[in-house]
Amino acid sequence: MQSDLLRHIRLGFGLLAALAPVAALAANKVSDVYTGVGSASSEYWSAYLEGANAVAGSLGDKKVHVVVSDFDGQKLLQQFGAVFSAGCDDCAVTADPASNAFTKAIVGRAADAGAKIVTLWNRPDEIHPWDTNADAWVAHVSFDGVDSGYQNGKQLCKALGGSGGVAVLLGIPDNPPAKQRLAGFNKAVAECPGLKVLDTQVGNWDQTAGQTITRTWLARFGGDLKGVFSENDGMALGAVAALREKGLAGTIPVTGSDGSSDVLRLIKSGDMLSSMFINGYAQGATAVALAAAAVNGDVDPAKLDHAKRDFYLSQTLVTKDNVDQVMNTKIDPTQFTYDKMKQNFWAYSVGPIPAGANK
Amino acid sequence: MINQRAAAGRSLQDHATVRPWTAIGFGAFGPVLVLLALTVVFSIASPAFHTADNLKAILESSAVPVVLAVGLTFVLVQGSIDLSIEGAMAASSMVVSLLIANSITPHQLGWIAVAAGLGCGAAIGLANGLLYTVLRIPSLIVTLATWFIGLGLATLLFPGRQPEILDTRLTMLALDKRLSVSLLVYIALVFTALGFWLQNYTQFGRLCYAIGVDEKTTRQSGLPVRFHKVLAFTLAGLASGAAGVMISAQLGVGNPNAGDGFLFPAISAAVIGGTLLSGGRGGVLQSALGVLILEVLRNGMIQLGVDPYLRHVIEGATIVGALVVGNWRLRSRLRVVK
Repeated sequence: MQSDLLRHIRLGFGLLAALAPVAALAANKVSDVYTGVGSASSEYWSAYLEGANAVAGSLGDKKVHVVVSDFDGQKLLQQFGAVFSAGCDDCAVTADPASNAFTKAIVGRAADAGAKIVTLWNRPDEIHPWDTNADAWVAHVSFDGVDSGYQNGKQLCKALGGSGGVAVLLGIPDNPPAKQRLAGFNKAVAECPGLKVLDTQVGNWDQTAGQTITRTWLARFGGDLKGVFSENDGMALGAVAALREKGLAGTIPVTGSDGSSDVLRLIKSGDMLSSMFINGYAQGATAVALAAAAVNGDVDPAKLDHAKRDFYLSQTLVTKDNVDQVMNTKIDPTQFTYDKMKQNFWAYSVGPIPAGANK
Repeated sequence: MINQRAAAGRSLQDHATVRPWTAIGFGAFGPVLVLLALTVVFSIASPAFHTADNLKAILESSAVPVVLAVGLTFVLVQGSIDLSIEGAMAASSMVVSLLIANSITPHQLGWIAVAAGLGCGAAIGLANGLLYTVLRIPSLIVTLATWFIGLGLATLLFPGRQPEILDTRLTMLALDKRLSVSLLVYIALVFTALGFWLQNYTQFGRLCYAIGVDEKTTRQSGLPVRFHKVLAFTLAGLASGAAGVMISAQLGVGNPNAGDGFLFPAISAAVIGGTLLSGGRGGVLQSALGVLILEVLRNGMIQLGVDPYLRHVIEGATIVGALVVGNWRLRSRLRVVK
């Protein structure tokens, strides 16, 4: 009895002695980095993961564990369920919940497991990081879809000299970015009364769907179709492919959103009008750094004001005028280490997400 | 008329519950009637529908699904199923776009890259066939697994951004017009003709029906059932590979999501055309007709400007309607529906 107790005490001291120098050396307490992404095969998500890995690599040489949802919230929850089941103390988690319906659930599970989480893209309008699992839900980081739709819409208006028939390719209708970009586009149309929306079709963000729909539009509207507004680059590429079949690429302006490298090339060659470049790399770095900062105690979420927990990142409208500049911007991974990010976690923020944006 | 030849394994079918002779009439003409009815309705409702331009748009959109449906038909006629279409297409699209002159890798293999894309599809098909026949795992499960393997391969190969195809010999297949339709449409026609020939004039085609109607008897007759099953799956895989190459030519890029949304239309097209999922009935031409029905429907709804939220409802309802018309004669028979 006595000796057992002694042994335990001795063991305890031994462990403490072994751990103490480690704790003193590394300010980093992040045990693991997990990221839930929509797709493993898209340029944007690849850039996101690179940015996330740049920061994770500086947190004691961690590598991001990737969970792929294929834009299916249920699938995301199942996989994170497996990760969280054994607890995930001091994990830094970033995740796109795939749709608003899953945001609360994924945040709740992260909180139960002891992790800190930063969410991306999908957040229902009525819940915020400061009112739901406020300890665990550090922040929500997104891009302004209304601005994207508005700016691209304005470009279309300008390119058409203020009048003409345009057609709209919608993403998956209940995704917040789809709703926001459409709202922004409608705002631009309201300011450009000569622009007439001929038709709106759902292309599910998909390249092939964009091509098939545009092909049919060309047959239906003939010369009346003067421009195409696509909610993302994928469908825009499909639209350009359909226009190319008719020899109309470059004649009928097409706008996209995302700023993928193929689209940048098309803007440069004049086959596309504009796109909104979102910096996935910076988003990945910002999101992981913030989650890690909450674990490490470098940031106390409770003391942050709302604008620092729910914000948009900067994005760039790309047209022929600045396409070279955007294409030639090289990312330097050494600028995206945890210590560099720590100087200002909000360097890429352009301000809080207004109420009502995620309706 | 198609089924007459198709019923080459007549002696096998005599005792079977499906009597092809009585089913020919409506079975073969039902889909034609549906296609005609849809065409008439849309032509009346929308003046832009029956223009030459729109007809071409329908043909262009049908090219890829026709190739898929033709390949799938042999597997369905045997009473099996191939769900790996989307995976095989994705893998094939990535393989061809990374091996041909492109914006990412230095390879410039030209037509060899195209052959590699086709081979990639055929290899997945061959794997399907072997797993199914040798290990005797149901085709539903095997091909579900290889679907994800194909998608996984494509994701592994994806270099972070879509490789742009720079070899114009491939992209020209979609852009170069003969009689104002692209070469892809002709490829689909050739594929259909080839499928029709295989179905009606070769032992393979006849055995597909025999296997579908009564596999046990066919096997007991000493016919190489396994071999022809593997052959059917390889052919379906090859078709998926070809579809992957074709979609890459159309888009001008390699796309790991190239196959998205092609599986369900391919199977429904075959079924609308009169191919039974339980096997033994159907054919290449009917499947191609089924594709045309679906494409006319989609095109027509865009022409009419049907509310996008309503489109899926109408699409689903029309599929059910087409099935009812196409399979009316089978309704009264004591046929087991699974």
